[in-house]
Amino acid sequence: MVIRELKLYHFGKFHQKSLSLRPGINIIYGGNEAGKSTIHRFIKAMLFGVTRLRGKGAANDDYSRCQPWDDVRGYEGLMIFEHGGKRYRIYRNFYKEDEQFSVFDDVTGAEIVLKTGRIDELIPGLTEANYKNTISIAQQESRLDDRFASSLQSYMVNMSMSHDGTVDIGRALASLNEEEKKIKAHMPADRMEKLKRDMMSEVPVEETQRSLVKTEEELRKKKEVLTKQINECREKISEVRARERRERMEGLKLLEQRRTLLLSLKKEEDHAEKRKDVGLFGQWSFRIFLLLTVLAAAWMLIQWGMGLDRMIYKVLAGVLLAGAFIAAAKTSFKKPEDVIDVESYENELQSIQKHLSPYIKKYGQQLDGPGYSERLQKNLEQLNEESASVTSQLERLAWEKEQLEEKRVKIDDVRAAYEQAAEENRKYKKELEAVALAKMVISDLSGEIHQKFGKQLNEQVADIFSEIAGQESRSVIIDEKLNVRLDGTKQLIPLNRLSAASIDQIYFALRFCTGSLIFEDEQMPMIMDDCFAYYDDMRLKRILEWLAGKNRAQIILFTCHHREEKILDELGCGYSYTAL
Amino acid sequence: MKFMHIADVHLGAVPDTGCPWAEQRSKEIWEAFYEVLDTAKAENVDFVFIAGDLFHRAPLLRELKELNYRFAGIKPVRIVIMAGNHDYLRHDSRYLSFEWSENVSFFKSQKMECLHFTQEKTYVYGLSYENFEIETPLYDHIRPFQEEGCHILLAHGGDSTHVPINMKKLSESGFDYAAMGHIHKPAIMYDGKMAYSGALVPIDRNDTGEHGYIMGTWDGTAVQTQFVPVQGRQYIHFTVVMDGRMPWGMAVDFAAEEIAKYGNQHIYKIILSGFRDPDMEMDLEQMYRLGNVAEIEDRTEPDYDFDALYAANRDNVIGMYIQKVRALPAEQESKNKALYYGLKALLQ
Repeated sequence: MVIRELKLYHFGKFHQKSLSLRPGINIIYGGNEAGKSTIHRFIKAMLFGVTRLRGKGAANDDYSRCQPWDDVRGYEGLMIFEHGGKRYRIYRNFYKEDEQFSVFDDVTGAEIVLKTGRIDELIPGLTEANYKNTISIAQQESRLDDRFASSLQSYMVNMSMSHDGTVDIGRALASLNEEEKKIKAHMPADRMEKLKRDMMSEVPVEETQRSLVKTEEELRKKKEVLTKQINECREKISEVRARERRERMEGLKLLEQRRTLLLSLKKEEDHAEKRKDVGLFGQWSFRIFLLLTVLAAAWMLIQWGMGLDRMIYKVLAGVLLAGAFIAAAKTSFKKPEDVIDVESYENELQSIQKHLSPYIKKYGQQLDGPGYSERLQKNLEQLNEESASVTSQLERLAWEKEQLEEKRVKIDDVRAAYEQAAEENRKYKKELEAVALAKMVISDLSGEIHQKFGKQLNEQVADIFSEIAGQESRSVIIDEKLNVRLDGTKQLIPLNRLSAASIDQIYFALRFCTGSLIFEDEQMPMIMDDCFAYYDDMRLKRILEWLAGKNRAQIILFTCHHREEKILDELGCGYSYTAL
Repeated sequence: MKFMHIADVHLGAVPDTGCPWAEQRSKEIWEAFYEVLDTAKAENVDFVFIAGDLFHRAPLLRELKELNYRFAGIKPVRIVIMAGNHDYLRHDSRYLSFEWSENVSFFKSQKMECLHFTQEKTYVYGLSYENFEIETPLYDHIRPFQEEGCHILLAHGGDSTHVPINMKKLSESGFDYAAMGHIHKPAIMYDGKMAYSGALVPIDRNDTGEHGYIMGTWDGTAVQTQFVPVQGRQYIHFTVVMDGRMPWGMAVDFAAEEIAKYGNQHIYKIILSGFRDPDMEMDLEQMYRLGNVAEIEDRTEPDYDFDALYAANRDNVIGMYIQKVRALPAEQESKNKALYYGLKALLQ
């Protein structure tokens, strides 16, 4: 690529400024504040647009810095360059409200539409990052950018690729990460977490089950005992009842006996009383009767004396006499039966009482009081109550067991669902493993490639460094991150041990080499913005000599000195000179 | 004598757990079983033999009560049940303590028992599993009694961990019929002397094909059997063959057609095979939404000709990548997947 024309309509301090450049070495001379850096920025801006930052950086970003000081419109530019045998014209309007970027074929005038709107579509590899790290060297910015290192990998990799394919390892790894994310998004991790938590409640189920079974055992045993007790109690009750009945019967019999006895005693007594009464009356009535009889007898005798015809009176008299004697006999003498045998009654009563009293003690006077069996009955009722309570406890327990069983069944279902999810998970895991494998292999490859192609790079850099530093060739080791170390005889010397000048030179060499790596055969211009300001004359001469010898397509050197001119004159090198 | 032979009902199972129709299917199993009972009554069969795994797991008391009510309701049909490896008799199994209706017989232990039904002149031999797995062959040496009548063996098992069965021996053992359970696919063997009735209703994604029960008759000398399919959902597997040029939408459309062809009520497992365009995004969700799709198995391979790629890229990173992956000490499947993912990333 060779830049031919630069036209700054309004850019920084320049209005309608045109610059012509030629192949080979171009020196652009300008004092401080002449605008060298502005032109340098213009070139970059034409190729890649103007960086605009947001927020705090906005005041100092390139957009603002290069904005025309007066007229805001007209913030535009034009660049004509040759590349690959063709001549191109680029136009850009930087004004943010009216941004535009067009590319034309300068010969035919036809517009070349860029699908991506970026210059690297036209010139492969011409990205801003690559530009900054290989083509353009600004003042005191010779170090290469870290991120450049990874894209360099890709370039090294692509060194051997055919031109219709490029491989970007960085991008490959990034897309594998994306793939991983996608797979993870499908994995049923959340579902499994939830199911797992549900399953965790199984442990208490087992324990509860065990304790329920234990309690059930205990209750059953208790029930057995109670049932036995109840049966025993029942038996006892019927025994006791039977006995009580007997005893009550006997007692009643005895009571009856006593009553009869007492009754008969009373009767006898009554009789006696009666007889006593009757006796007295009888005595008096006898006496009267006797008297009457005597009188009657007397009368009869009188009558008899008077005549025997009144037989009736005789009979009557006889009857009366007989009656009187009988009555007399009856009432005169106290027969032995008349004497009430109170003693025997008493004895009998006593013996009855003796038999009766324990019954009375037990059953009360009327023999109808509660007996032992009543107490036993109460016991029985209590036992029955306990038994009923145990039974209901057992029922409740059975219900709880059922509930637990239901819970367990549910947990089994959950487990089945979990296993299903785990199965799915396994499938996804396999995919993840494959992706991880791919990533690992690609990363390894990265290292290997570096080794394979890096060797070449190391050698080239070492050669260039020795040429421009005028030193003996030393081994240079550059790792994947583009950290440089020099090979001392015994150990690697990190770059920071060297002088600033040497460091500078090494990076210069590195840029040069990586530039050729990236852009291969198509040489890009080298744009150096006052980067030799701190070089001493010797070094400057050496590097210019070297550059001249390289026959680069184009070298653009911005400088505020005349040294470079002088040296090139001395070397007899042709160059074009522009003063700002 | 007329009988129905069913097995592997798996009441309580929740098939396709995680899928939206899982609960519905669970209910369908119960309904199908009740329908079978109704059929038994309507057809006036003498016996319903249930050769194990009536329940998918240990039954709950309330479930047994419900069943018993139904069983009692189809008197005088007799029901003979054995426990299989899924509903095996744990020490606290509700099967053991449950009081069945008088027309239900249940084998209460792993000891072989013979139930004699005088009225029907039938002898039913069987046992119940007391363990989840039984590795001893319990049926190989059983012989029926030398009595007049129909001798039927209920047997559950047939693989190495669930009572291995020597089929030939069993067919020659003298039983008029061996009503078998455990295998979910119905199979009538040895001219009808023994049969797996298969699961009444498909339970697992791989229980494809028809399911139902076996209806049998004994005329006094021999048993005749016939498989009776039960109408209902089936599991259907079909394959969508893809090639490297087929867009995903086309594959989805093809699947939709297949589903429409067989019917929306069925449940599908779709197998994708062949080759796919490596850059194509396969939105499986689209396919799942076509109907009752339980599983989509992706057996496609990306349309990369790895050998050709390697040959064309021997000296560069693509070739190096292929070589490295192939040299890994991993399984072929993982390596293929890694090749696919890596190349997709590198070649984008």
